[in-house]
Amino acid sequence: MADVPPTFCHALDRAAAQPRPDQGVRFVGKDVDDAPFFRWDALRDRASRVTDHLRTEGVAPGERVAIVLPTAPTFFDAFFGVLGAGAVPVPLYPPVRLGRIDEYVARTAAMLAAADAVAVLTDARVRRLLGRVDAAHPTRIGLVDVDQAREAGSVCAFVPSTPDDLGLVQFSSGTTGTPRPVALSHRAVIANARVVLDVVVSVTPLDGDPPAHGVSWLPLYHDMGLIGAVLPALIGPASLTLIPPERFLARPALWLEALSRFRGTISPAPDFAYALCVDRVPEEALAGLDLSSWKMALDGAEPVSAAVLDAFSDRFGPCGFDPGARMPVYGLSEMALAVAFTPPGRGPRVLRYDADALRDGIARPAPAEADPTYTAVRVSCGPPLPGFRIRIVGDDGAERPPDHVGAVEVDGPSKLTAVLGDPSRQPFTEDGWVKTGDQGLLTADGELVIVGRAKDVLVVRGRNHAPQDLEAAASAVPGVRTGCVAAVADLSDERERVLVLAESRVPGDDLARQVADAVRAATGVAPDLVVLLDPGTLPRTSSGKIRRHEALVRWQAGTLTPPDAVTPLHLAGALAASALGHLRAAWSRGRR
Amino acid sequence: MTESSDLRATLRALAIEQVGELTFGPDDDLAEHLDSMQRLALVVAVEDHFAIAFEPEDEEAAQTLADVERLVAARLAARSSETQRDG
Repeated sequence: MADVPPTFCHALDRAAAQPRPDQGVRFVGKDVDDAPFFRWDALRDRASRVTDHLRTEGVAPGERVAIVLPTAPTFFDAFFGVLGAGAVPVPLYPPVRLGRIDEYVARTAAMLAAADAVAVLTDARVRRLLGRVDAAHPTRIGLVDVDQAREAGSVCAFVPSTPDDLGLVQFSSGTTGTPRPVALSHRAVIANARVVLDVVVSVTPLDGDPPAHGVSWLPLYHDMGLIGAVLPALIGPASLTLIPPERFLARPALWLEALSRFRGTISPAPDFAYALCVDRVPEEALAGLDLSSWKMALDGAEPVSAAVLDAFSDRFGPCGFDPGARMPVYGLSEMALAVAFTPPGRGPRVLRYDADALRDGIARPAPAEADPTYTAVRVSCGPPLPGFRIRIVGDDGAERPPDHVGAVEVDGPSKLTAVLGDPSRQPFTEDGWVKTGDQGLLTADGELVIVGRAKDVLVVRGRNHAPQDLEAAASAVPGVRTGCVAAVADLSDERERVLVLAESRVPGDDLARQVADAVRAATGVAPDLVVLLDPGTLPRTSSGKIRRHEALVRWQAGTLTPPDAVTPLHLAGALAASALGHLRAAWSRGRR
Repeated sequence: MTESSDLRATLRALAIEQVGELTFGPDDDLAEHLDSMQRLALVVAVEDHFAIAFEPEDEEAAQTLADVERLVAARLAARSSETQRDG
């Protein structure tokens, strides 16, 4: 293992001090022919100009500075410019294009407040949309245009930080709809980037042929984009190709074209991205595509589907894609990012469990001839990375043996310093491990298998959603009993499905469709299924709160019935009305 | 007239490319029918197809496909008048 730089700025200085023409960051624009390249030394000088300006603006070491920028060199200017001043970058997502800015303004203002940011670094274009955010939550310094800051400042030395200083605040979606600001030290983030880099170079060395080269379309305000892609390349130092996420979404083939053109060896993405490629990359785009250099196709950030990964390698195998490159992984922002990786080269390990036993918390292999309906398919995320530990804990707080389901807790060198603000929301156990909020098990040979979530968060296309938000929207539809709704994620099919279980006295397809429309309009999440139930059907706690997990388990078992069991549950598929439903349906077709 | 219906058909085709099937009309609120990522993908596809760039303020006001159509028409008109001036 090479020596590890103690802070981000040391890492950037080091990368800049040994410039080789092939080391730096390439920013793909409209296509792979439009991809300007910036060496690390150029990026360092640009960032230090921003540092200089921020210091004259009065940004002090330890203060937080929000960054709202697209995937562009300006993001690097801002990110390292803030770090260079000894301050702490807080990357936030830019406004969604095409309307609906109210929700964005409220959310972003709340995140600025939670992180206690003193300024917001942005560019001229985004700045015009941030005026309302600034009005809703004025920061001490306000909105700073990063291009102007760079032009105003001079190249300077970075303010030294220490490894235990905070190096990053990233938001974890949390369970309640209020995102939590997770504060991480330089030491923690670099430890995580280092572990990722070690795995990468064990497969494709920095001076290999082709050399280790990351390609990523993930947003830079997302842990997998920043810590999974950018920082390992910085520490290498190696080079990296970045694609703006909106360009990938508009034309998924761009991702594969960049991997092919620039000989990418590693690229991480959530499951839906692989499904999107299977479904949306046109046949003619395959000609000339050479994916043989891609040795690590990381799949994480949402439940991993074996069928999607199979469909992906079936579709792109003829382009040289190696099925052994598929790597289901596990991580969380509280641990910087990565915790467990499938061993490179092996491919996904698919486990088929008896679904009934799994619901009872026991992982028993399904008989080979078992009815697929009673089989729960899960994909292993691999063993913990070197230096990391995983344990499974039961409701009684005792550690569970292998193949028993419980709460997943993790420990390792990259854990958070704290969740900023509310001391009651720290995710630590009494002995200092981190509670992940996921339910899972360890196999007999120590691999992590995620079974569900202890918290009720819904993960849709890599974004977490609080069930309360969906429930509130469904509850507001006339005909639905107020407060008598449960939004749950059904993981029994290997693709996560969002179910809305709603009590009503007037069941009918129309009402189900109205509920689906209302939920989608309010949250952007299209339910896969709306189930209308008779009054009194949803299980409740003694204090009257809906027991979501219990409702889901009973629904899966077909025993979700009203107290008198007069009427069987009334199912109404809202799938057909939903645009996302169509997309999902297309993916399901694609994976067969 | 023909130009405007061509534009509408192209926009519909781009939207279908992004979402699979159009289950809403030109005057329906996009945000009620597309999630944020689909809207992002749609606006990028439209900009790329017509080689135009929307202004943030325009987008903020655009709620429907008909709004997007008006935006595209305005951008194309602005470009063609610039071209004429330059030429």
